[in-house]
Amino acid sequence: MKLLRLEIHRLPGIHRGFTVDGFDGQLNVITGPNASGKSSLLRALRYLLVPPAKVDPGDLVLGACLVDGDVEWTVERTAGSVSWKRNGSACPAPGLPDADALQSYLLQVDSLLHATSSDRTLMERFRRELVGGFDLDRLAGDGGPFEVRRGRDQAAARELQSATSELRDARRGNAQLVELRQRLPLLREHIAEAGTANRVETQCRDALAVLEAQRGRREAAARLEQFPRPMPEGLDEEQVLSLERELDAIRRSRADASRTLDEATATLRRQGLAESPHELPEIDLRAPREWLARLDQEEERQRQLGEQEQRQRARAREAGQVLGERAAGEHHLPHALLGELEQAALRLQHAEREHAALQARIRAATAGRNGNRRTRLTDVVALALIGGGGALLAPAVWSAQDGVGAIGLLLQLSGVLLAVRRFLARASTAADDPDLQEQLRQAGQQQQEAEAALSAMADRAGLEMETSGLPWHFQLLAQRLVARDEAMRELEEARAAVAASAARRQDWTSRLTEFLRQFGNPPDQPDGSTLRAALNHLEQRLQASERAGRDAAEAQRTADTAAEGEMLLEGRLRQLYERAGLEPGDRETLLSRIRQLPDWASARGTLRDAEVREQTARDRLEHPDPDLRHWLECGDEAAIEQRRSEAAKQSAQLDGLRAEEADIRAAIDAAERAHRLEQCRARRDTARERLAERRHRRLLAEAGLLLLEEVSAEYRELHQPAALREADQAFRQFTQYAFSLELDTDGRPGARAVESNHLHNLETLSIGTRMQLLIALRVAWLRQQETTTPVLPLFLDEALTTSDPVRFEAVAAALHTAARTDGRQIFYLTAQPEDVQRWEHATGTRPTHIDLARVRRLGQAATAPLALPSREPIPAPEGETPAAYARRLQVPPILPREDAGQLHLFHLLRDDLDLLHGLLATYRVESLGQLETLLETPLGRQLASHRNHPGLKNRMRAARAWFDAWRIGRGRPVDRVVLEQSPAGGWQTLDALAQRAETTGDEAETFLQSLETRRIPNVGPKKIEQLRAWLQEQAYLDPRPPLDRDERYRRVLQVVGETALPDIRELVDWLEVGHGISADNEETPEHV
Amino acid sequence: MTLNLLAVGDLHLGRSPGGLPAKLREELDVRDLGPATALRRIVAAATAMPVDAVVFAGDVVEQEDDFFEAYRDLRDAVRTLDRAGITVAAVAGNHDVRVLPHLADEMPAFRLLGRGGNWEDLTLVSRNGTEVVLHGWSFTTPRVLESPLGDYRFPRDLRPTLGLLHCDRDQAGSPHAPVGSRELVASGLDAWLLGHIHRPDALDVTTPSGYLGSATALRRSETGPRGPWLYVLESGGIRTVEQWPLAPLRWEELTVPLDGIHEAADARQRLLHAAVEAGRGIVGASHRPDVLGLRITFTGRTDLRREVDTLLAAEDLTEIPGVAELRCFVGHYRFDTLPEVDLHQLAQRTDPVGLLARRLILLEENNDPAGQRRLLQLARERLENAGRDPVWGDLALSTPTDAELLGFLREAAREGLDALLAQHREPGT
Repeated sequence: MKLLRLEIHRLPGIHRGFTVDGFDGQLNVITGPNASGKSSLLRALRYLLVPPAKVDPGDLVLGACLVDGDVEWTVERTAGSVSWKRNGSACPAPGLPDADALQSYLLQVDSLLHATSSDRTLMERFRRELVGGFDLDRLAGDGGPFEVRRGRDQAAARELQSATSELRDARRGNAQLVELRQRLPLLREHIAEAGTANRVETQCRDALAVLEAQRGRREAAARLEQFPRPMPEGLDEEQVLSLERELDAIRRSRADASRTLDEATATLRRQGLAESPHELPEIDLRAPREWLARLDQEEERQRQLGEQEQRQRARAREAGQVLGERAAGEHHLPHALLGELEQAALRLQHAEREHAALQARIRAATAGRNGNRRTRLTDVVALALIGGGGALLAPAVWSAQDGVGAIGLLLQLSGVLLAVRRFLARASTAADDPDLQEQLRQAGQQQQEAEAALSAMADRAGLEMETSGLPWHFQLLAQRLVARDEAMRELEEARAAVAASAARRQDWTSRLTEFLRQFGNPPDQPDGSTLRAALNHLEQRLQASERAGRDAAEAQRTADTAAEGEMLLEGRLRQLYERAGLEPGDRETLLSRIRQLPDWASARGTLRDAEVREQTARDRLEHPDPDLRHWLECGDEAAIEQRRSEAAKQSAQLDGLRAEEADIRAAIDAAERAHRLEQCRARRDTARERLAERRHRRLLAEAGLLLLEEVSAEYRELHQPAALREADQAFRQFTQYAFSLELDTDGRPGARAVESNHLHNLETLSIGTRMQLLIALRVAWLRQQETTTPVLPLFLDEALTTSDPVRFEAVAAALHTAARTDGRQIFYLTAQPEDVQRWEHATGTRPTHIDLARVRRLGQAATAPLALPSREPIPAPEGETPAAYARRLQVPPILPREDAGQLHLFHLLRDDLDLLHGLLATYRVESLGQLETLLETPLGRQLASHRNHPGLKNRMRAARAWFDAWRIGRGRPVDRVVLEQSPAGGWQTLDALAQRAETTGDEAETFLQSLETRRIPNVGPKKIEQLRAWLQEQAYLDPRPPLDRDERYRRVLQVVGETALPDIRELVDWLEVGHGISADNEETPEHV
Repeated sequence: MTLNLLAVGDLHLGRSPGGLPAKLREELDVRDLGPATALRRIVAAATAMPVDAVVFAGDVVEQEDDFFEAYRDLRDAVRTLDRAGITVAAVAGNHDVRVLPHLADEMPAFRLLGRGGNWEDLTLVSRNGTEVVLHGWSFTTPRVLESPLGDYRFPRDLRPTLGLLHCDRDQAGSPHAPVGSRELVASGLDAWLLGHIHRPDALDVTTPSGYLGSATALRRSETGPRGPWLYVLESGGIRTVEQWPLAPLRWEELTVPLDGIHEAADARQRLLHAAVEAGRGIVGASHRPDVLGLRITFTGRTDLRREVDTLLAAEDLTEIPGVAELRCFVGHYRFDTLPEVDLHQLAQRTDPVGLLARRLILLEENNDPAGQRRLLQLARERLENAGRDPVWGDLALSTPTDAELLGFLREAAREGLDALLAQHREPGT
């Protein structure tokens, strides 16, 4: 379908309606200034061709006329109503693309700035068709089997470098240790020499010490000579003074002792017992004391005896009185009379008992009513009787011849008392008995008779006795008599004792008196006390004499001792003087010398020390050599010192040498134990293994990626949507084969740059390239869609505004070609009148020019189109040499650091300049990369087969191989941009580094070496190393040696093979030469 | 009346065994698995018997200037052997041209034969009077480009004669004393005890000449029993030759088929079973290692390759249970499996699986030589480029052979195929 006429009667934004017609069936360029209504034309068409929508403005009155073959279509729209006529007859609308698809025909500049939703829909369809349900990229992505992990490879490489470096260090250390060990024998020699020198030095030092000591000794001796001789050695002043004091004290003591002796002797004499202590008698007073004690005893005894005699006399008298004797004296009773008395006593006793018993019975009966009281009274009486009788009987019992008799007496007494008690008890019941009364009377009478009888008998015996007082029992009387006799006898005895005692007393008295008489006047009336006093006095005299004697003796001893001491002290003092060589008494001289003693001792001590030192030094000096001995004897100190100094220099190294030897041995031992080499080697080997494994993985990944690429390319080839393919070809053309069109894994369109092989997404493309890509896509799409819809005109509203002139022409030419093929009408709307000429240049056809301003009679003068610069055609070769042709074409030299894609085709086609010219002029390709892209298109394949140039591809491969070979060992260039990304980016020295990189020609290794040889301040070895490591990691450094010309040739041969490219040698030579071609295209020898 | 001679191959004192997992290195003292321990075991076994002589066929130490670490181990060993009345002799290899002469100078008990690059013989006398003549030649530099046998004629001797030499057999152009098998045979000696190649030859009384092999495994690839060889000689010649696998560490290569597994755990079970079987065979020997390392290759057809890989990657394979009295670990495993579905059937698909299967068939069956060549060429360019990446340093791959390229491509194709098939086995696909 082609547009013949467009009528805009009413359209929002259009003031006055207008009609545009006179269109060309192929190419139309509509110019007009801004706001002239260019875009309104497209709006009007959209409202006409797209079914009305609610959002459409109501104020629309539009019309258009289109022709499709021999069918004329007219369409009118009024507000929301659209009507079609076919050849003037009303009809339904023809089958047109939907609203989205129609957008593809209206390529407005603002819709080409980014992918629209329509584009995205399109891409999604492409993507789905391209992957066939498999995600090939996943195999190369994270975790995929063909993932290339450069980071890990670099880490493994770094680890190996580090381990290698460590091993190198260890080996270096090992080598150093080997060198050190090799030093050991020499070291031992040096140690021996130093040891010898040490001994020599010691000997010299000893010899010097001997000389020094000698000097010292002589000086000390001289000083000592100055003192007098002899010196009172060992003396001190205090010693002398002390002796003198002591002597004085002794003398005083002696005098005192003499005085005391005299006094004691006087005292002794006064006692009259001796004239002198020596004559003092030994008076033993023990015997007199004994006598005196005896005398005292005798006096006492005599007194006691006297008292006893008195008592005896009294007793005797008493005993007699008991018996009734008129005088105490001896009185003796015959036993016959005694017997009669006894009988009479018994009778009386019995009568009294009877009477008493009867009385008791009667009393008891009377008091029986009182019962207890009497009984108790009876008991009391009984006890009293027992007691009294016992007391009376006690002496008899005591003096009884036999105890049995005494006991018998007591028993009898007891029996009597019991009878009495019984009697009294019976009496209580018999108180009123008349018999009893009678018995009582008779008993009384008998009692009286007995008493009379006894009294008479007592008179006859001469006893004065009271019968009432008569002892109860006659035995008692007898006992009394006996007692009396005894008492008398004792009295006699007492008298005799007294007399004996008196005699003895007299004896003692005599003895004492005689004793005392030896020592003076005894007492006139010697008795115990006087004698005692005299004896005491004697004793006192004796004691005093003895004391005096002791004092005298003591004083004598003291005096003697003092005399001895004095003699001793005098002797000692004399010795002091003698020691000092002085006369005794020369006190001042002595003291003076004593005061000099410290100095003298010091001098002597100094002399001794000096002698000892000298001797010690001599002893220490063992086996001096003859020279040394001679110097010593001569006292040649200078010679000795010189030798010592020389030896000292050598021996000073001894400790250091020994330490060095010890250190070396320790280091060897440590090295043997540490196994550092082994560990480093193990680490290195492990790192190598790991790196080898990484390399294996990498190669495997590359093999896998290759296969994936093959599979992917083949699959795309087989299944690639035709539209995408077409868009790709168009885009390559648009960009003169500098780019190809691809979709990424997400289906987004991108442009792959031939030179860098980098896939740019829409956002990173320049606006012009982006718009060209979208044009290619949309045009390809709409061409695909027109299998079911009519071919509609293509409208480009300033779509090439941002394209450079070359691209403009490329796009224009491509679109025109496609349009001609499709029979499509093209409308290009532009504000640039020059675009008419551009279209003409690009297509070779003058387009129909419609000046919209004139059509609308806007009154604006059309701006005169600018004159386009004439483009010089690519000159054809005119039989000149290739070098000359290259100069004419201004062929740039080969820059092998750049991508091989930038290689000018001249360097590949020196032998076919016509082909070169054709490629440059017709296909607008001038670089290897562009040619590669071209040859991938059907056009390019056709070209290649047409020109029968199967080797063209091999030449390109060879060229690429040569570029790769040249880069070996050269690394990548370092410039400021690279440095900013490196650790140096944060350094203050970045500017200086960047400048250096520039001056060193940006070879990474050259750059680093220049840093090492010509230092930049603050860029020391550490930083250089850091930079080196980073550059190595980022593959800016290539440690391999660069290849020479022949090696490069062989490398290319390996890649391509002579069979594939017979003239490979020539090609490589061209490349080598091309590399040496200077900027002004003069052919110069290559400088490698 | 015999003479017992213990011949020790490459010892490489100072080197640690490689290929050990990090966890194992942390748990064990690696030196206990290395040459120093192997040497101690050799000395202990030699003195226990005791043998009459111990000889070393070069490369006793790893590094020629290791005068301290390895030297100490060696010196102590020689001292112990000498005290036991055992003669010690050796020849220097390319690694120990400096260390062994130094040891010989220091210890008269250590006899270094062939110093100065001249053949030297030593008469060995056993305790019971049997005599054997040992000829030896030592490297004087690390590189020796010509055969040391050259024109040398060994003197005839009625006594048994042995040669001790570190050399590269049948590798003309080798810088490590290239020697031809014919030369060795023509020398007329009863046996050649060779060092340099770590894989031991199958030595026995009928074939007594050959490489003694490394005394202990130094790499994962050094599989099988390792240790010295006991030669029992009598006046008439060699009576017996027997290996004493004294190495503390031993590697074994095991193949574990995965055909028919239903889940990944089945693969683990098969691996464990294979490990136990391998261990059983080793434990019963008179000399056995302390640690057994396994290199596993999974083979067969299974769709569970990735699952098995995931399962094993999460497992601790440094201590395989059930391998009696041995510490057993898996040092490396790889897959050489194919999907269950026939490759040709897959190749009929037009999706990426089919396209990849076709390429795998191309690589395996070479049904399209030109296509294979093209693929190899592309692979060569790509892999060489990747191999030349400076990151590999001196490990950079120079020129892979076609076989190597094929290997990479096959492995990648299998892995890729497995991954793609797994994508369609995932839920939701």
